[in-house]
Amino acid sequence: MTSFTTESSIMDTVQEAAPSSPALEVSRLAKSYGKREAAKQVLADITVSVARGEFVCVVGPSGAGKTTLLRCLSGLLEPTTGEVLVNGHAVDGPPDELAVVFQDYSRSLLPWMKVAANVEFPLLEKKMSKAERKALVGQMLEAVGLTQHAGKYPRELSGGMQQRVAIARALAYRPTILLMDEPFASLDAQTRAELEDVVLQLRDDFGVTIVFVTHDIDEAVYLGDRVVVLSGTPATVSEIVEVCFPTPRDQVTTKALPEFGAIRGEVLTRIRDAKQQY
Amino acid sequence: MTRRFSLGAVTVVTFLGLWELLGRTDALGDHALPPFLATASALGRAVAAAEFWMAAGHTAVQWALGLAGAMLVAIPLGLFLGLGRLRHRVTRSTIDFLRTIPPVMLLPLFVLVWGTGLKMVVLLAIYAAVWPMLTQTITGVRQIDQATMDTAAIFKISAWRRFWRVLLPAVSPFITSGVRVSAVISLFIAIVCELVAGSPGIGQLLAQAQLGGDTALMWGLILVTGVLGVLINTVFKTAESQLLAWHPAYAKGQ
Ligand SMILES: Nc1ncnc2c1ncn2[C@@H]1O[C@H](COP(=O)(O)OP(=O)(O)OP(=O)(O)O)[C@@H](O)[C@H]1O
Ligand SMILES: [Mg+2]
Repeated sequence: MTSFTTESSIMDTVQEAAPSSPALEVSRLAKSYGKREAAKQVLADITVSVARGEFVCVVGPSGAGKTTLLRCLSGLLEPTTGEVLVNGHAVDGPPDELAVVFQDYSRSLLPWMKVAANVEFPLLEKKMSKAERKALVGQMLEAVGLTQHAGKYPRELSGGMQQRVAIARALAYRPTILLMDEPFASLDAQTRAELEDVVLQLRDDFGVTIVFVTHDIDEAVYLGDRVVVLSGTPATVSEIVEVCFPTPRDQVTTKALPEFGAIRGEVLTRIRDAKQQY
Repeated sequence: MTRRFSLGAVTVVTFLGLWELLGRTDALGDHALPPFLATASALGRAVAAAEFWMAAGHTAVQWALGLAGAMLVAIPLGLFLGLGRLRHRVTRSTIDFLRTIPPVMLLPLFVLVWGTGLKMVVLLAIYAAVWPMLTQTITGVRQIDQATMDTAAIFKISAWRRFWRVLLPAVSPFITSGVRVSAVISLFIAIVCELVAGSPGIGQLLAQAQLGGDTALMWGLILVTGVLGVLINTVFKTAESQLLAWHPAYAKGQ
């Protein structure tokens, strides 16, 4: 019953958008911080398009402007020039069908709400009955393996668990597009691998389009359908690498594929080339 | 727990014993400090009379109205000023200037305008109690994390919920500590008004005891005031720890 209602609501949102347009279109985007003489250009001439259901990873060195790009995509930041289209509509302010998992997850959870309330909070704005809401929250907490911790405050959880809450909250919101900003950067390798697979599974289950920022090249190659390499000051898209492994992916077998090493090598070379140019 | 309690008891008993000793030896001279037991019996007699309870009632009402009025002014105003960078910048120096004026200095002016009744006391208590809550609320709003506001924006949280379920809880630790300070200030101002301007209340009884040369009763009433202050602080601290159970500072077992 619950899974039926949730699936049908996804279909509704997908159908609302113009069917032919890509999920995300960034054209000639540039961003500077500060004004006039003090202006510092961070992004220059970024043009990327992300298809529906695609998993795109963005890699680049620290300070390259990855978070800045994501904030422009999410409508939190206005680009200096250029345009962002989400499902065919120009972005000014956060779009309805988009959710973000922030780089700083511990600060993006609301500490005065327990885990379940944090996940439920965005749903209060949607036309859902209380029962539907509770069911969806339960389902999402189960998907990230936190059912037993629903009644705890975020501070009572470990970093990895808090991150799962942020992911559950974003997914319960039922976005068609999910932006994730170095979501696993501060986690240990084991938890990280686990959560990578959770995200892949959720993508398969719900057909969400994902833009995933990371500075870990292995992670980018393992997760992404394409890897966008950002580099330079101001940053531009220096390369887009196609990743074509069979799905479902597996932490052991996928990473052992000869192609994995080849693609990883290619991305690394591109980053190094880009660095030498500047 | 029991250990802390017995330690506290030892401290109190030692203190009272010392008081008794200093009183009996007339250490301060001029019989300014009567022994503790004499003070206690003077207070006991006063407490038995209706007059004491009327005065205590006056003080309590003035305290409560002063605090409540200050909360009604300071919290909304603090939220309003804290939310706008320009508003905050423009008003900051004025607030810093006004809050450094000792409120008691304004007492003659307030008496001139409003007389010595309840209204004057409450107004002065409001004036004095506004500042800690106002500055705390402004600080609280200013320190709200960008990540918190971004989250609210991304998930399209309505203005109503953003206020009640994001802004207010985020500022609440600052507001409650401001309220705790202001509660004691409001009591302090009420008693000073009673003492100096002769408004009805415990302070007025104190002034009368002084005029009548009843030093034992004077000390008894001072004791009552001190106990009231401690009581208010304790009650507000307890309420605070209930309200902020989510806050790391009030985590269970700490
Ligand atoms: N609000 C801001 N005002 C001015 N400069 C900023 C602001 N935010 C970021 N910057 C600058 O823009 C550049 C890019 O920052 P950004 O946070 O987008 O990098 P990033 O690629 O996400 O880095 P990291 O991998 O460390 O998260 C940095 O040089 C940073 O100093
Ligand atoms: Mg970043």
